[in-house]
Amino acid sequence: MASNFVPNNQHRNLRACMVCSVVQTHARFMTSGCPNCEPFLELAGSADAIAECTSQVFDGLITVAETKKSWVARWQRLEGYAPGVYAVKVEGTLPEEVITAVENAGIKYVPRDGSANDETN
Amino acid sequence: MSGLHDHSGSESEDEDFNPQPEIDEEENNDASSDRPDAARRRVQEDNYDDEDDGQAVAPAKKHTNEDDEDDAEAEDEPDADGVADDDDDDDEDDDEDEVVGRSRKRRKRDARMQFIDVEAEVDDEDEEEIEEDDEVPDETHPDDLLEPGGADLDDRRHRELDRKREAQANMDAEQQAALFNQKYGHRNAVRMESSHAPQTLTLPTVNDPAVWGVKVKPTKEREVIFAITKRIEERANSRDPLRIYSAFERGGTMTGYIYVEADSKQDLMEALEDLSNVYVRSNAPINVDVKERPDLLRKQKSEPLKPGQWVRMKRPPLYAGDLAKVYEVEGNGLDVSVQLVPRLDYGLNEDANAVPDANKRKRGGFAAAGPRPARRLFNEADAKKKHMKYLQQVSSSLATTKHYIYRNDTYINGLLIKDVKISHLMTKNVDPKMDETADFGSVAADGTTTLDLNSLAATLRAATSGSSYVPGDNVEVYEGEQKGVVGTTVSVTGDIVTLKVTEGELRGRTIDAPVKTLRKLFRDGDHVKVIGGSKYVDEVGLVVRIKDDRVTLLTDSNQQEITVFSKDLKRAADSGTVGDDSNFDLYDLVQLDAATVACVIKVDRETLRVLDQTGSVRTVLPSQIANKLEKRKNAVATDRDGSEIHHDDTVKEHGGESRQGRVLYIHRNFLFVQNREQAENYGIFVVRSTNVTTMAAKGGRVQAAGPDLSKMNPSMLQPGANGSSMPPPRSMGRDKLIGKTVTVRKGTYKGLLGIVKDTNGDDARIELHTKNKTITVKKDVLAVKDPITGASMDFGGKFTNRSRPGGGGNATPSGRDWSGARTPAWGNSGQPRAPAWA
Repeated sequence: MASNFVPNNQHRNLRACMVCSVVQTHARFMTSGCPNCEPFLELAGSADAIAECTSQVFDGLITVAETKKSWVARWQRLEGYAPGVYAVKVEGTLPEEVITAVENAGIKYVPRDGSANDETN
Repeated sequence: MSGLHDHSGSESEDEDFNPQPEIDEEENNDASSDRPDAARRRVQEDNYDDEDDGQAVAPAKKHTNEDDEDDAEAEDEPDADGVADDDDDDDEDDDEDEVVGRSRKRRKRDARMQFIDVEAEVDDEDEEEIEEDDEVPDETHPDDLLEPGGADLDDRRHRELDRKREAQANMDAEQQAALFNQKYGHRNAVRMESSHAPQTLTLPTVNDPAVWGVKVKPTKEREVIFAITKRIEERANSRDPLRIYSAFERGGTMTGYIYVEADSKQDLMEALEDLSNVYVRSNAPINVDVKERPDLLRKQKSEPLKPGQWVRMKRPPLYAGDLAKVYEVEGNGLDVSVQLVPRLDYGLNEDANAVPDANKRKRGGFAAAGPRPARRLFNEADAKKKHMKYLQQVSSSLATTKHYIYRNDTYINGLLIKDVKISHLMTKNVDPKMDETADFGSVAADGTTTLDLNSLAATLRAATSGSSYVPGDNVEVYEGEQKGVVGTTVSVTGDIVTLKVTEGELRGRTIDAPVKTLRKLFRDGDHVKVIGGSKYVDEVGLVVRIKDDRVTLLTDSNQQEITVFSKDLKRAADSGTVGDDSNFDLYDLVQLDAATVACVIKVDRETLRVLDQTGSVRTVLPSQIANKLEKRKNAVATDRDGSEIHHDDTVKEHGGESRQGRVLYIHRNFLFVQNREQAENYGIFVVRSTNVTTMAAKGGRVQAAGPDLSKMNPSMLQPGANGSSMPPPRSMGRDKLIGKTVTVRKGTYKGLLGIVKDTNGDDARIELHTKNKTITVKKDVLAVKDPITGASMDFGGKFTNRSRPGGGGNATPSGRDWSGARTPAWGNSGQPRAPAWA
């Protein structure tokens, strides 16, 4: 399970983290948690936490090889995150306490569901 | 000097941390050159009075010593110094902490003094000390008061600190950074990901890698992305890692494509080579321009669902496509519970679906195999019948709502409450129909006033996509800044309607308005037609009441009041039509059941009115009609006199009301007759065939009456035997003459043989045997020939003599059909004459 590859039959179990938008199978969240947010989300082993902080409703898959150089990663605010598969949009709302936990950890929480649309195209 | 204060009282906090060192004597050297600076700084200091601006203060304080001499100048100079702030800053940077409170205070005083023209101010120190008490409170510092006492000690300390601060100030940036890092660095340990510039700053530039659009197999976009992921990983640490930076897909909106970030096309091709479902060789990748790249990643927040909103089910298959109302929304915004009109067969069809369904059930969950049950509110009586054990009533606190649990599903007020994920619902283009929503809300007597209708209206309005605005419609703007404007549509383009204002101050102007803000305006008495939306489509009627966007109209067809949304109406010129497509047309003969047939007399929207064979009018549903009956062309009935009745004959009722009409249908001994002048039952009536007499039957009504009788009566056949040669005129259904072989005795065609094809009162049409011609002659010039005798027939036996000459030679039986009612008497009757001929 070190690979980010997900075979087709597992596509049903994919979930996206609402904080960093990484996409993994539910099983992988259970075993290794979120590669970017584990310190403050603590998803590994907790089905409840996974249900609260990850969502099955997401749109647009991105696979990022180099989060530093890719403009896509920069645009999606994925700089510094681990390479892997991410979602463009994740729908769902984080519970208040999780948001506070995120902010306390120093991350500026930006909702990944498109509500923070400050593009001025 | 001792009198000089070391602290400037005004530097409150800063002072505590950064006690202002006393001015060094050394710095007096700078006095002269720095005089203007000093003055400037003094002024500036005053400006920074209340701020802990050590910097501003420092350089000023440096020159306290000078002030003794400089005061005079200082007073003069401050006016000129307001401008020099920039220089001050520069100087201050160097001389950060060399503040001497004393001097600052002094400068304060001096700055104030600028408005006072004081000639000679020299002995500041004393004045300072004296005036300390008059200092503005924020400048006063308890230390100031102490200063005179411990001034020397403080001086030393401050000097040290001063030196330290100077040293610190002279550190270069790196060292300072290190210092700050040490102090504050640990807080930012995790922060590196979020540089958090607003997204506009992360717009792509030409320096960024290019983005290529690559064609892939539609619906396989995610697979391809994962395949690329796998490839990235495999080649990551090897001889040539993949030279793409990222790849993404937006299936759904941009189906059939993935987008890959790479520096060059070669890198791209090499990376995607031999990937399945990727068509990179055949279809050249498209380079996406810098400006268009952010659009690829655009995301829109989808509307969150709210309770009371209308949605349509996508899954489970049993309820797919059904309208549902959101009941509750879960916290995470993903799960909702909805109200549905249940589709239950309460176990009625169970046994039929025993074994064969085993396979279907396995794969598809619990889909109802075959046709699904109709939508009906939950009925506990039905449930009890077969499924008593599955039923359970939950008494709610209100005890009024009917809350049941049946087979692990909850039913409240007849509606099923189901928990589903949002992805199983359709929230856009829901377009709830009136009859679908009827089950959800209580519909008041006039069919209008319910809350549900309001939410329904809101949904409908939101979903309106250019709802048919035809030029010429009266519309009203009811939202936005142009609210209240009334006008007539001129044209419609997409979602914008151009209208010409007819009332108010904007009269005559042409304005545009989006469809969503418009509402069609009707007035009482308008003749309108329903063009959509509700089950009343195609009804035409008169507007009787208007309320907001709901209009009540009186239908033309059955004077019924119906209420529809104004968006579903349009001005109608045509009169009431019910263009419904039922299989049955007006005046069709239909079979209701094995024993009953009926004629359709009115086609309604969903029902039909029919007149059955007993003469009673019934209203039936199309489903109750077995089939339509076609007219049987040779259907024949017998009328009162025994004459034949065919379709389209005119008949008249003998008894009863003597109604008259045209025969539409003949069924057994019933006739469906139509009389357009009659109003009852739309002109159709039913009679038994034996109660009518044909009137304008083919062949004429008044027939040459009783040739049969008279011919059959030997005694009458004798010429002159009868006093009345004219037998009583008898009405015959069909002229017996038709089909007879006759000869013409008089006229142009005398002597010719022919067959009577048609008769019309006194005339007969004869098809000549010899010529290809049909002639019209009077019946009395004819002589009927029968194959044996050529005897005369019609009109009694008068012709006996006259027909002789023609009769003898023409007894050619040409195999024509003879009149049916030939009795042996015919032949007999002919006999006596034979000798006469011979």
